[in-house]
Amino acid sequence: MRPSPEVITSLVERATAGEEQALSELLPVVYQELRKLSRKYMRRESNRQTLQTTALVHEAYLRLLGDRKLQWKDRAHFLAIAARSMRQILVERARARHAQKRGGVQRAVTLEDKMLRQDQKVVDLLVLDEALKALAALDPKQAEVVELRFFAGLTVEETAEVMGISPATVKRCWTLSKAWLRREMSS
Amino acid sequence: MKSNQFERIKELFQAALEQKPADREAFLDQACQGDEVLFQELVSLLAEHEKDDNFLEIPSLESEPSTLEAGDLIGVYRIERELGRGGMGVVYLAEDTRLHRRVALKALAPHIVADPKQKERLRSEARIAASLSHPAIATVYALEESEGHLYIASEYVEGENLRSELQQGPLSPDALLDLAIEVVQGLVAAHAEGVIHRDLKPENIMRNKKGQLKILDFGVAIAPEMDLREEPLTEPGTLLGTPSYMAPEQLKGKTVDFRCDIFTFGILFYELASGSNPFRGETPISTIAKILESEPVPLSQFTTSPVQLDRIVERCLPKDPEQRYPSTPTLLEDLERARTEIKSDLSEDKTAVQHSRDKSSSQPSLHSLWWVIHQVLVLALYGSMVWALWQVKEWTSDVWTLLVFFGVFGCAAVNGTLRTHLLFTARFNSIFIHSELGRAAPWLRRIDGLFAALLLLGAFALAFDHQFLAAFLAGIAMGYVVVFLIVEPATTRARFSPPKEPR
Repeated sequence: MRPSPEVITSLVERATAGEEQALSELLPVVYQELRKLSRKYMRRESNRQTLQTTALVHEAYLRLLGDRKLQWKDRAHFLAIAARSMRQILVERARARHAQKRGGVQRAVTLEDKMLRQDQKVVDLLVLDEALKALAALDPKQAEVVELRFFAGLTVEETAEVMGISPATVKRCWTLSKAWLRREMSS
Repeated sequence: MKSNQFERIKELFQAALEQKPADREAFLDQACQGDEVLFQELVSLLAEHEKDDNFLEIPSLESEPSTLEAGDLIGVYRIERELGRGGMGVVYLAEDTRLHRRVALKALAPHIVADPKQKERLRSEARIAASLSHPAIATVYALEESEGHLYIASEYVEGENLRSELQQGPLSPDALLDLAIEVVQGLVAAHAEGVIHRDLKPENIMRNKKGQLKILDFGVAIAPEMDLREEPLTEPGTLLGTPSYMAPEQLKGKTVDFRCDIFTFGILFYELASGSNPFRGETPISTIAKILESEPVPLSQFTTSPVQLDRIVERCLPKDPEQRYPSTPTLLEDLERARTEIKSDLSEDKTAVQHSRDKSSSQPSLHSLWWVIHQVLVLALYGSMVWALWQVKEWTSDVWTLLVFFGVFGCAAVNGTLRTHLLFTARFNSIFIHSELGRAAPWLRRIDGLFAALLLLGAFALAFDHQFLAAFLAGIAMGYVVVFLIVEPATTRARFSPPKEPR
């Protein structure tokens, strides 16, 4: 099923070096692993009290690569792939939920149905995804910061490390991205 | 927008943030050098930046409410499907695997359980709420805690909530009172145990398939969080997340007791009677201002509501809790009294209607017919007297006699109008008949007295030349005195008994 840590390590290294073939092999593996883990997390089957997004990504890393130490560049690349995968997983799930709601299932309890739209605490991932695509078209870096911070749960420092830029730049990007996305999403 | 333009935006946004907030706009105005589009873009971005909520700050997975899928087990509850989600969390339809019954399982959102005080309150109230057993309350079965998450299992109610009933327009007074009494009976039961609802609104009251009302979320509701965006509420009905159903003390953040439910019940009652929320404003802010300051327009001013409903609203909606009903049973008593009063008015109305359709009359409709016949005969008498005097006016040129004739004519016109008005009210607006009778009766009596007196005078004036006619007029006048002093009160009493005394 899952390739051995050795294979994955070399895939990551080759992907970092820019090998397309390696990347296309690696992506589904990371995606599958994260999907499995996040499902587990969401269903609260895990025996940990709180499993953070970032811990989830790190757990996927451990499961895929074992205790092999990667070059920081390779590790950064892996995290970027993981962030991309997390985004994909969550957006797909939101889309499925959306379709299910639209699917005409008679919903007997209308309790709080409409609250979602007005509640700012729950981000509409589908809308966010679209806005992120628009942001990436203007400046891919801005969107990448959001992907790493929000979807992979990385800190400013970790994000800086992965992107190879200074934490101060990450912070600046983050501030602007948030303002830009929120405006985009509310319009 | 091109990328190089975005570079410029990035630069200026950063530079603006380094300025003091007050200086930012002036700074941008200068920096944009008249580029209005760029200026507007930056101003709007800065405005978004100022809204400091936790947008995107909590990573994706943590900010997702728990997602359970069909087949997942929480305690003894097996998830079937999601029913709805919102600020408070996600509600699932689940099956109790031990008792094999369906339940609504609410998974409380992480941000609600995050506050330990709130969590503790929910825990203890759910415990008491679970002991409540009343047909109008959706029973809370259990509180499940699983890995730091709180789940509330309660009775699953299939049906429609009151919001959809409201969309079909306001209720008639008797339907409204039936509904209100059912809801308040539930409130009385809960308040007696010290459980307050806190979030009573049309969405939280459901009518099940048997037609029974069920109040959802008793004791486990959390006051709605306010959404203070200055945006008009575009869709009627999307009042959720807005303060439309909050009491003044809730808005002020004071501690609340059962009287907060009485206030929100008042809003609900008003809305069901009139079809509109008494405090609804264009924006949430104006709604809050109205709840805190403005007095609702009495229902009877823009609907055909009986006054009894105004009395109830007046005692539910004072800003000061001390001025509201002192207890929920008092409110219930008042509702029941209003129902009795209105139903007896209505049933009389129905009898009258029925009678006009169906001549095989029973006792009460005979009474009502008798009153109608009386009124019609009196109207005929006015007419015939006017006609008769008009015919004889040629026989005399005496000014006094002419004045008598005009007087009779005037009295007949005024009382004829009053009696027609009463007939009309009894037939089409029977709820108001008592107050209308009360207003008209003294005038009817005075003018009828004058009418009889003028007929007598006329009889005297004619006594020398036309003895027979004079005797006829005098006879009618005397007879009429007997009619309006003795017969009329009797027919009226028969028709409108029991007489309504103000309590």
